[in-house]
Amino acid sequence: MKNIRFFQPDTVVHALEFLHEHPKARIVAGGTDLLPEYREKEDNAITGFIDIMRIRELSGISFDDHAAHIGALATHAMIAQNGTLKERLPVLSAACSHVGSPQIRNLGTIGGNIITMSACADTLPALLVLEARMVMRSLHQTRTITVEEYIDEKRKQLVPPGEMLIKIVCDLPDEVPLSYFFKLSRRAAAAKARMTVARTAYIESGQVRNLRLSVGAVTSLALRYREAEKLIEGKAVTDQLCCQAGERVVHDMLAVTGRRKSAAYKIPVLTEMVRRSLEGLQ
Amino acid sequence: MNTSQTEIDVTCTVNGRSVTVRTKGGDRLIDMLRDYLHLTGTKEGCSIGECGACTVLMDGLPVNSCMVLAGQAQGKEILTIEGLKHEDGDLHPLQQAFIDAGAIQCGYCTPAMILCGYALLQRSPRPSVHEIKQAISGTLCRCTGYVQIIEAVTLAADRIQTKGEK
Repeated sequence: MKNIRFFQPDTVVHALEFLHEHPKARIVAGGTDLLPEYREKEDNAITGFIDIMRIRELSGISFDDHAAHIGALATHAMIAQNGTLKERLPVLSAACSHVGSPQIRNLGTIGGNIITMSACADTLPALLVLEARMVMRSLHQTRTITVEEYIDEKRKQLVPPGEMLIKIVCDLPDEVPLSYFFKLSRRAAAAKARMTVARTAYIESGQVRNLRLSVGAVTSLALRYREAEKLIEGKAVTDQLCCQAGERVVHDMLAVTGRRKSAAYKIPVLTEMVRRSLEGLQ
Repeated sequence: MNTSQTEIDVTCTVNGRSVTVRTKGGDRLIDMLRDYLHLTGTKEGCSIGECGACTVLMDGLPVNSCMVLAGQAQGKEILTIEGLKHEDGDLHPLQQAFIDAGAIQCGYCTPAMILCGYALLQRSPRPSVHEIKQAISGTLCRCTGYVQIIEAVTLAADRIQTKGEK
């Protein structure tokens, strides 16, 4: 067995410096994705672990007048149990409460869920509809990008090396939007998502305003479905519109994935899941 | 710890006792508990966080010890199944209830199930069936069908609350 280095920095700068000197070391937070990966592949290139769990700057959940600041190390359990988040960002709270099992929610962090970015990551659809922002830091700069932009960078393999996620920032609108989150999986607990739908919207004078719709686990990275959103925006929701939006999402999903064998299952099920996510707006 | 090492001395509290263990950089908490401290009550099942057999409490919360690096346990309080019985050897009411309710068959999930039940009773002394199901939902049992396990946790809660058992 090779010698693996272990480093436990107490500041972000120390972690970034170590990462710079050891580019094949991996940052570990909750470890729930990284440790199985590390052990499964005997020929993995990992030369060391940088345990960031002790960096105070990365932990905790705080609020100002307009936004929630969620430290990269906030665990899914902490987010799911936070009363203010439950009330003000119910779609994120619901997403975190559906991650893995209680044991995994006690370890796994929201930062890890984003950075690892597995296709079935439960928090991504929620963060997409919240238009959440990520504060990223490298040795030379700090930048803020939306989760959607980060997903795009990931898709195009444009994520700069040597960066660390510091926190997630979610706006807290004066009025909490009507929120919906549904995870379809083979069991109620400890199961990976087959499909995940997140939706937020307002209703003003019977018409839908600011509808945001995202689906996870059906494409390699979670996506917003803006064409389906546009179908409904500004209108009074009807059964027919809900079905049309479902069909539009499926159409756009197939444009990304192509028609795989699983399409025979995904097409009717996703159409129905999207329909259900919207029918409550009637 | 601001310098990196391939061998790490991990100092933490295991079952109420302070220990220092020299581990390797890639060792996990389960390796430290089983291979170095010989606390083999903690079981390794799937090694990927799905079965929950390796559950221990870290600072009071159930976690999969196969997903924690040994070094990450530095300064933490770890409770394993061995730490639950009393010093005189008497079983904890949860352990006794698992025996009395027939909640143990092959026994492989039992340490994890009992620790999940213990963490639950710490925060909810009279849990509902729903709460118990939630609490054990990260631990697989392939023998009992879970019914006896839920009954055992309910029985233990009742004995602790009404009879003052400890």
